[in-house]
Amino acid sequence: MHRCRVIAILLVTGLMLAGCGNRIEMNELGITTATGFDGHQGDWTITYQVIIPPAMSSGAGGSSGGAGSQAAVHTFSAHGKTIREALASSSRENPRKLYFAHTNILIIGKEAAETGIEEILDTYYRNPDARETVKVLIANGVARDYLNKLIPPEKLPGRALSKILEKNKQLSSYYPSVSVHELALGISSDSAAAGVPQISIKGTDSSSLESASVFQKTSTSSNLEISGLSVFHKAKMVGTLDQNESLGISWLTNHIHLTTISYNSKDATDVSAFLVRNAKVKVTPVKGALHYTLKVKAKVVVGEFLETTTHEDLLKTQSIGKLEQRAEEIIRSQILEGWKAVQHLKIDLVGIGNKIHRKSPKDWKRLKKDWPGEIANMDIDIDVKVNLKRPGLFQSSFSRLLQSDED
Amino acid sequence: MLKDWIKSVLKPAKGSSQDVEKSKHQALNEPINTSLASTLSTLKKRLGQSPDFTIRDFSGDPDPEHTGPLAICYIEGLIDPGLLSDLIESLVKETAHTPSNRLEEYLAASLLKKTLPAGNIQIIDSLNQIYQAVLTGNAVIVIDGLQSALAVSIAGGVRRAVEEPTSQGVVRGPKEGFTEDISTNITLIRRKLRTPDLKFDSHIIGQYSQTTVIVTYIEGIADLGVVQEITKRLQTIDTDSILESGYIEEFIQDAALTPFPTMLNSERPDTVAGSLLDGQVAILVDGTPFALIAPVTFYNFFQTAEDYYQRYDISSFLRVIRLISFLVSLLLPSLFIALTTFHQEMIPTILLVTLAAQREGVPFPALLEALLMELTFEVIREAGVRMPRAIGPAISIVGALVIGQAAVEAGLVSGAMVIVVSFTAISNFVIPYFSMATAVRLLRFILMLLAGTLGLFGIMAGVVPILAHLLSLKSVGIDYLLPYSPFYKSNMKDLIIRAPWWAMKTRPNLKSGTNKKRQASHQYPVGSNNIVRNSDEPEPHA
Repeated sequence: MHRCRVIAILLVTGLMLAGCGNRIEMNELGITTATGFDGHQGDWTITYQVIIPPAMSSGAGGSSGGAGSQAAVHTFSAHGKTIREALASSSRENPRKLYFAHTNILIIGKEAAETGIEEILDTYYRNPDARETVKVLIANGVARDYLNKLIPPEKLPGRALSKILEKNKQLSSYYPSVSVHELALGISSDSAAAGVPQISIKGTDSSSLESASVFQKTSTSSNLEISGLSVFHKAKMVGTLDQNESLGISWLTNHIHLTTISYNSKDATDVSAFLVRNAKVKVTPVKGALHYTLKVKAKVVVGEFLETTTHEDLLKTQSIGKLEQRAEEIIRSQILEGWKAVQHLKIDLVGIGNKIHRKSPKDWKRLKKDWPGEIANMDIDIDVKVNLKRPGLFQSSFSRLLQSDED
Repeated sequence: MLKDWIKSVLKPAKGSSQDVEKSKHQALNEPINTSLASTLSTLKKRLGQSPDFTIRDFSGDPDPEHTGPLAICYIEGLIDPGLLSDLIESLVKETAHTPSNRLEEYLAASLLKKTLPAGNIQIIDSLNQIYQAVLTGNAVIVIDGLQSALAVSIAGGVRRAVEEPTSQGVVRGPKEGFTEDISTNITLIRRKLRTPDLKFDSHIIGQYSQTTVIVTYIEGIADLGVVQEITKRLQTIDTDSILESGYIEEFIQDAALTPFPTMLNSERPDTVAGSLLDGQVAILVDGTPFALIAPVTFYNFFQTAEDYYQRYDISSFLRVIRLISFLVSLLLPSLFIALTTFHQEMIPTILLVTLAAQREGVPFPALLEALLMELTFEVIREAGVRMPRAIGPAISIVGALVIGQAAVEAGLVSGAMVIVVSFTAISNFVIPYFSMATAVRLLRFILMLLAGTLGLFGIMAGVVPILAHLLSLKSVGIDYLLPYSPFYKSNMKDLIIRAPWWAMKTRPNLKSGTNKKRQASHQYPVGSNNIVRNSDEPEPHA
């Protein structure tokens, strides 16, 4: 009986010590929606975008009134020799416990990206409160400048940025959406490369975005937008690709979800737009006599025919075939553009290294010594098959219709 | 220490009081005096000159020493005046025609054989029996010179009519409920089950209340072992009074220390009849409309009479809703506390921000806030039960304003907490049986405290022992969580899902005895295919 009681008491105290004793009320939390890293090893500046909950929900109880004119976030910065020191020193100016579990986006400043992001990744993996699923953006400048900008009509800029990445990935597939974990996987793989979307400030007078008064205007003179793809080799950023090149990489890495292809004939009389519904791209490195050749097989289902001024008769199978051919050409050129960028940078963004390593480890041992050179010498063989599934019930284009009236 | 204390409290008190009562018993068990006059005076003395105790001795002489050949005594409120006047009329006729010698024996025999216009006549021969007979609504005929008396059952008096049950109503189904009168209740069950196998075993329990307690079961369907066990437990009860079936429940339930009810109470004759047909045993108690049903399992508390009258699809859906409500009512406040104070990462961002915005400026920690609200609700609920019916609307207005709007507007509690507490309260009312609902009400507070100190971990530390406790519970020897634990596939047709009637061919066989078959098989509705219309008949007009 006595022993039972002692065991019970020990068990209960065990529960208390198990790490669940860290009770904290919601109104003591500084919920961060975005984090920014600037600086370099030995001198970090960390910026937090903390949500102000009452400003978020209009008409909530307690404090009331004027919720519309108040910015929903506040930005703090802190310096330190290490990231965690900077975090610790943030308590000097912030009354709340910073809470990272709901962070939507991580913005890395250009300087930090160029000098190396090992330390950032390390803190993300080492600390349970920061999630590796946070999306990453590279700032075209200092991250702090991006975190204090509002993005109308969204109230939380951090959330807005992560939504932009997500929607872009779903609807146009120009840029990939990369999480901390994916970034770490990419740069630590055999290919040692990863592409991360880059964000820039467009337009003039960007300081107007720093006040909640932007919500009262119908347009702003400047805004934030994704402008390119930062290319990482190991932990350092080595270059930037533009949108077309990035789209090519998306094709090559089979990251196309939904995208629009536009065709324009040389004399600009014949314009068509296709919606890619489903794309399966298979990239296989094939061993040649001297070098590896990259075999790209793309099976693309063009769901809808979005707009056209073609004079072809869409009822005929031949003309559908013609349109399909055009789409194939465009896709091929897009893939080529991406590949050219890869060869130019000599960085394996496509992940061919991983594939060769898996397929023939012996070859990889030999190739990995001069892998960048190997990429530059690699040939590519592209085979695109487009299937135009739904040309639609709307048969002839207006151009054709009006032309036939003239006859 | 606590356990010892509880044991000492729960232990039946040993003392000399029992022996005293026994000797009293023997003293009362004295035979009836042959002298009518002395018997009547003893009766008068014993019953304390009560104004409702009446003796009619047909002598016309005010002197109590001079009596007629017989006397009739009864208590006014307990008998039917019409039957009494019939009885007196026949007595007067009989005494007028009898010869004066050997009057008494002839009289008794004649009365018994032919004259008395009543169904139930008993010969009694001790004073104690006279008291009992008089107090249970008999007219006792005491005859001068005889050592026995006749008890004629003419029970009647003021009773509540059969009305609609107030706490267990239905939309579709019989609308009659039990009353306080046990013979009415027996009749109500008899009318549903007209079989000689339906047995009523009567017991008298309670030193002072002398309450009739009746064990009802269907021979062949009920497990006789269970009937014997219940009878045995009833016979061991030695108490002053049984004023409600709750007394019996506490005396004979299997586990003394449990918040969960191990007997079901119902005020519906159809529920009792249905339970009897499932092989359960019912205990009717005089003076209360609530009958006890045992043995029961946990899932019986989520089945209502209406489940069997409505279509099976909606019944099954409603049962799922009830089980969910049970869980919500048990866990929602504690989950809310755990999530908002320990595991904010589990709440979606926007929801978290909304909740945090409401908490801004709330002075109490979430646990205290929840406890305050729950206690306020319990107070209002208790007030709602106790207050005079005329001021009911006042309470609901004050309750709605105090718990709801005013508390939020004053910034004392957050709006989300009000929603959580109200939803919990409403879910609690979905549980069909009040005794199960109260168990949940108590456990909720324990879980809230655990959640407030240890988060989800604490909830698990509370739920697992509750589950273990449920697994160990038994109701008259039947496992409480049957048929899920131990698992019996054959009993699954009437649990969370209520199978259509034609599919329930057997009774839940772990509660019942030998007769397991409920109905013939192959009763699947065949539809209109087998309707053959006579071609000579004119077609019905469209």
